[in-house]
Amino acid sequence: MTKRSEFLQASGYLFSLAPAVLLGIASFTSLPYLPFVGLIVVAPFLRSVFGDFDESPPPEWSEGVATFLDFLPIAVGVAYLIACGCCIVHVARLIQVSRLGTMLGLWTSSLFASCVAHELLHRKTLVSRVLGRVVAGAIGYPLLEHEHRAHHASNGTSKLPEWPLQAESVWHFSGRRFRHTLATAWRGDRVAAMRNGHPLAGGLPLAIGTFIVCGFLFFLFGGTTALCIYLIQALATAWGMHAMTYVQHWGLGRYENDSERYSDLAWEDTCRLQCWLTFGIPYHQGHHLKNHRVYYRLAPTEGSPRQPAGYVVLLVACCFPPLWRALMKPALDAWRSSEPPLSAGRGLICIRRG
Amino acid sequence: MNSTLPGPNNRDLESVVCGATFAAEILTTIQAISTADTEAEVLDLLFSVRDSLGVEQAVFASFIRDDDSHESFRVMSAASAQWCLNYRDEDEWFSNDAWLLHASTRSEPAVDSEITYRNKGQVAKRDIAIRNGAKSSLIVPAPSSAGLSRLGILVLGSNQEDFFRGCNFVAYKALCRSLAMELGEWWIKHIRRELLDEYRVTDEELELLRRERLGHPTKQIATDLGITEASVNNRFQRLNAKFDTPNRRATANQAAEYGMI
Repeated sequence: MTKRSEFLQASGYLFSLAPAVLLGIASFTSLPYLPFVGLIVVAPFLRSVFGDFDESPPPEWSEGVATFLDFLPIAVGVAYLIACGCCIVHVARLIQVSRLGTMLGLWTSSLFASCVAHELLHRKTLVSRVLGRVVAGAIGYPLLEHEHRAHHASNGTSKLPEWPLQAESVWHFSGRRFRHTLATAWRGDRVAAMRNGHPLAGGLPLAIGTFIVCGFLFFLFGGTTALCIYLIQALATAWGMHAMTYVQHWGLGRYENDSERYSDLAWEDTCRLQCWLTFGIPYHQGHHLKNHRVYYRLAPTEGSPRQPAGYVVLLVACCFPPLWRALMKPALDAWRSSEPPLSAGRGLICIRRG
Repeated sequence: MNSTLPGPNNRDLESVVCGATFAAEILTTIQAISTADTEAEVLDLLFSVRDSLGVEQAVFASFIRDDDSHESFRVMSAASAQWCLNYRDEDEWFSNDAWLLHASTRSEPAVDSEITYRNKGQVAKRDIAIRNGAKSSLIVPAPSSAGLSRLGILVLGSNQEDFFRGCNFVAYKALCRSLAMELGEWWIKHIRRELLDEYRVTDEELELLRRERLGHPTKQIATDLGITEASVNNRFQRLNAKFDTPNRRATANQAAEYGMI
């Protein structure tokens, strides 16, 4: 690969700054809907512009580019915290323009910021982990690290709310998962802290502390209304995380498939923009197979089930179970019968025709 | 490979330790482990040492301390298959296991009754062991040093409730510690070989990593090895991709952590 094409390909990951940038611009220009419109309404259509990655392994990346890509999540995490700070400072003005818009804008950027928090929390360095915890707290979901730790520790388990059952709706699954996460978070944190040799090494106290500080700052700058908006978006972000897990693993639990062969199954997608925006999360089966692999070294897993649409479309679809089944059942059947993988390619949705 | 469990053992620890060949058998096995090539050979040795130790069950697991997933776990079992299956079906198995926690944070062996169980999940895992015949267990950590992140744990299970007691327990424990350390050492060497095969790392590349670890600059490495700087850079780029790291410093650190250099 030439240096130029390598830099071009790597520069796509700069899109990961978009949620923070849009939130920052929204705060200064009093356009609270901007992140929601940009990332939820417009971005899915950009699939037709940027297309898909092919099935080949990722580039070897020269050391300079790899070091830059390695640093990018830290920059994105810091950028998100700055944007969040801007939003807090201007929240009173944003609320005057639109309460719903402020909530949706904040929620959208939180949902996408959870991807950078996820990438940072998977790393071994203290700086990355601490930043990941702070971002998780700021988006309003301090339980992210615990939830995710348990998720990787329980590969393929549908008995626990980790891999949704095929017959289960997103509403049932997210309720089950939210209750389980709340019930086990502190215990899990204590065990992780013990294992890592420091009372704070589990991560939950820092994330909760950040969440409380953010809530207090929203209250300070925007009063009770701003605090309520922050808390509602925090709840919506938590739901969004569970819904994402539903989308990523629906129907792929160990006991609904070949339990001997499969325990790390996940739906994958090769949409370029989505990979750039989310730090490679759509290569989800690969992520579960090697969870310390950094995002820029991930690639589609051979034979993995493929999403018939991007995350945003599937998140909307899963809210309506009949629509979800109509979209996903053909994809699941196709994968189980070992047909060639489905991909939406440059389209918004792909439905295999009988 | 012998996959059956021995019948109930009526010998107590005193009679096991006072057996004429006890120490010699264990030491011979420890020596044999150090020269074993394959997992099957070591597993056979684990079965034989289990009998010499007078217990019915023996499990050795090797893992990385801060691994939040299951990727790093390598388990060798001379124990009830049902125990393993029940354990696997338990919620959040290894991530919430008091015995593994003990091995991660302590270095001295402990009888299961001496370990603190912090929640229901941890108690449940101990109950599974008891239900499957390990009425008392000895948990022997195998810590590692020299910057290696891989640890080990040897679990010995007896069908007698107070098997791990008595004045000879100190001698018994000392031999178990040696055994655990040898098993841990074997896994580290074995995994090193596996990684070298998987990553297809040549001796020359290992030399590059060693020199990087020592802080040698690219120019010096190139001169010492009689290759060009561009060649050094290219080789490091390939190694970085194999190790999933961004640069040569991180690759050399990881290779050292895995015991490859």
